[in-house]
Amino acid sequence: MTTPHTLNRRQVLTMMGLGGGVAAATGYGLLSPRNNGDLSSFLPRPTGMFASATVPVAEPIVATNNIGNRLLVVVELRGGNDGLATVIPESGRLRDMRPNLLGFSATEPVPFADGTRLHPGLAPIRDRGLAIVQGVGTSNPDGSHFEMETRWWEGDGSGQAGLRTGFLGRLCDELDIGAPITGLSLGAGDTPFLIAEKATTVGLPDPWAGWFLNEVGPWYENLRRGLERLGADALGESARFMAARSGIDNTLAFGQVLGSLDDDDEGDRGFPETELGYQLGLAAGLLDSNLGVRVLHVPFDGFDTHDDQADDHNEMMNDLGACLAALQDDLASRGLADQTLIMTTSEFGRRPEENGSGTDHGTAGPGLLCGPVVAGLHGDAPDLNALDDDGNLVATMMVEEYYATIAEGWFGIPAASVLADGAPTNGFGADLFST
Amino acid sequence: MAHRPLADVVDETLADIGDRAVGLDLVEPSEDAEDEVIAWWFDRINDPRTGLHERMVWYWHGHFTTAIDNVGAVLMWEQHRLVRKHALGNFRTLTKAMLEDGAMLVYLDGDGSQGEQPNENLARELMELFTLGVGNYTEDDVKAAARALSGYWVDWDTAEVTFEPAEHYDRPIQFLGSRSRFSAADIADALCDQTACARHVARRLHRHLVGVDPDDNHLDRLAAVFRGADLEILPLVEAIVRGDSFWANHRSRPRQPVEWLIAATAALGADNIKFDPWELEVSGQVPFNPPNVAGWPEGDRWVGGSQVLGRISHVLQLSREEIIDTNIEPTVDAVLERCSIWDISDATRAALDGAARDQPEYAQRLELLFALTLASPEFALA
Repeated sequence: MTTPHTLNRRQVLTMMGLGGGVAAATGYGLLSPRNNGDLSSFLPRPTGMFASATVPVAEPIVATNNIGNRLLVVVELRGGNDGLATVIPESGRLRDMRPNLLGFSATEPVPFADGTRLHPGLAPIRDRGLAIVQGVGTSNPDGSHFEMETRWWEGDGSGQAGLRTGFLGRLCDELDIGAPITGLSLGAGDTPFLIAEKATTVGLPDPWAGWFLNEVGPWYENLRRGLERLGADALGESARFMAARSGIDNTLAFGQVLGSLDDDDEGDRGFPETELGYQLGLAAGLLDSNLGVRVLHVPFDGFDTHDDQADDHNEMMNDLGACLAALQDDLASRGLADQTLIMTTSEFGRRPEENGSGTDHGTAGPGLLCGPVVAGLHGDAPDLNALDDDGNLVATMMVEEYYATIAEGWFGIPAASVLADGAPTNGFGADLFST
Repeated sequence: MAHRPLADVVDETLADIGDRAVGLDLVEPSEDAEDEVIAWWFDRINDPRTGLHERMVWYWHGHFTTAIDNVGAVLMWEQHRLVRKHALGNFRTLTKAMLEDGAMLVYLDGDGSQGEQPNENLARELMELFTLGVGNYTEDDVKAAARALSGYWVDWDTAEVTFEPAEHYDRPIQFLGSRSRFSAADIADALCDQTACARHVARRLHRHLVGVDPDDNHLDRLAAVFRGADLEILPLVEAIVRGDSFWANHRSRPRQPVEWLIAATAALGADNIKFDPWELEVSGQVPFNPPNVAGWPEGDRWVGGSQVLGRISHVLQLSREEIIDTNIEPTVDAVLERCSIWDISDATRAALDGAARDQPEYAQRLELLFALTLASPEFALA
């Protein structure tokens, strides 16, 4: 009887970086490098500006001129991040509305720019060059997580366009040059954000579950051949059958992802031992691999802070700042710093007026961008003295405009080709990026 | 293979809803008993003595979602007893009970919400997800309901819920077009009286049991049945499973991970297998721990690549542990029969025949055929 390689719980937990600081176990052959053929023709390659292991702190990273090498990492702050506790205006009005929540138990906001301060957890990314696009939202906000998530995923702030693909998926369609995987989501499986027409985009859950995809031997080859046949399109089947076959086909793509992870990636690269740190550590390795990944998405859950916001939001900001700084340093050591943009999204911000121990669903919020960006505030802050009828912020920048900035300014893709007809597309263009 | 008419099976299912109380006495949850409570429920779902009732307990847990990670085992268990009591009872009664349930109040921040500065979380999800659906209420209704639902406090240790009249907003509010003082029960009544409520619940339950949304005519019928029965749940279930759409949509309903695990282990010949909660977590679904307030998603997610990956891994680990019943002939037909697939597609048949040819060693063929059959679209779709 063939005895497939197996894992036990302890190994899994250790590998996930959640084993209480235990060093990563080795020897279970999961992430062994594997030659996937010569894909060098479309590999992003470092231009060598920051090939050293450290990033020169106060100096801005200058974006590579080679637009065809540029990469994007999207961290989705799920649940609705409180923008007013992230980028904090020095405002008496805000102090009135936040008697309990302004200020953080043991720490104080740090200076940023133009009468604003930052959550102290973000100091590490401020020091590496942080751009903040203020007041991103929509002109007809909705209070539902699910409605607003869908609009952000689809890149349709109004919710009226009826798009069937995700904004990141459409970016991947434009960036697609036949790479094995153009768009990849890590940590939670498939996401509507990455639904594409033609590019290969996949969502990878816990990567160790794919151990059998790179095992050697005839039995495993027969298994993979069988999966290939099961996953092939068959004529005349229902939409659900087609989705199931494409799911099977995608598992084989996971094999390529796992095979392309370098053994070196298992070592200590300075990422915090948190779920986000683990996923971003994988992300850096995958961007540096030969898969051709251009867009990488990592969800970060927990931002629905109706209650206990002081503790919970504080912890998440600290995690976010530390993890993104570690990612930037790791990308720099790989020579990828000048070609990688890191951005955040969140389905909405939160109500300026607190509810006692937390905040309820709001509207506009800031987008954070790290990498080769022009540091500082961009766009106008929503007016705390001119809230909407529900007591929420009025967006000063539409979701589509934020996205148009990424498409046009970062990737050189015309906004019209990735956003709905008639969508507002007045972003910052290339002005947001350091060149 | 001989097959019985579907109608007979439906009759039987509706006639014998299963043992409602099986194993209830086995649990006495304490604060650190989360894993035990999860494992206990998985065993109940897997227990052949349970039936439609257990199926509906599972559904309501996803409908009126609460996560044990947020509320702990003691509160979660109290809510579970409540769901078991009302799973085939009355929706209005269930909704009222949920608004005074400690786990729900903690999960959606109703616990400690004060009338002058209420927390909106419970009010919004109550309307958006539990009763009406988006588009059938306004932001002002959310704010008004939040006031009306204020005044409850939960003792986490004892699961006791107390109502403090002084913390409740007791002035009149404008809610869904009428102006009055509202208690939590009044809010539930006002919501259940809306025609949108019967439609919303009928649509959600149809989607869950059938795999797709009902068409408008069928939804009208289902909502009429539900309202005609004063929101009694069993008549709605019956109307759905006896409806034409139930059979017409055979194999368009993705099996959720817990259902898949139970079906797969049964096919492999391992009825009484125990799963650790962490194994369930890897599968993407842990009873008592839905991903968010919308419960578990229906639809294509459960046939996506990440699911297939975890499922194959699981089957291979079970076979490694010699779980597979090796008395089964390693032929495509024998494995299909074990997996209750009698309507196999040409493409899947060709893939399995190919695998049987590829794998000459008799002993290793059974494992290969199981792995591929359990990964097939036919097995992923119920």
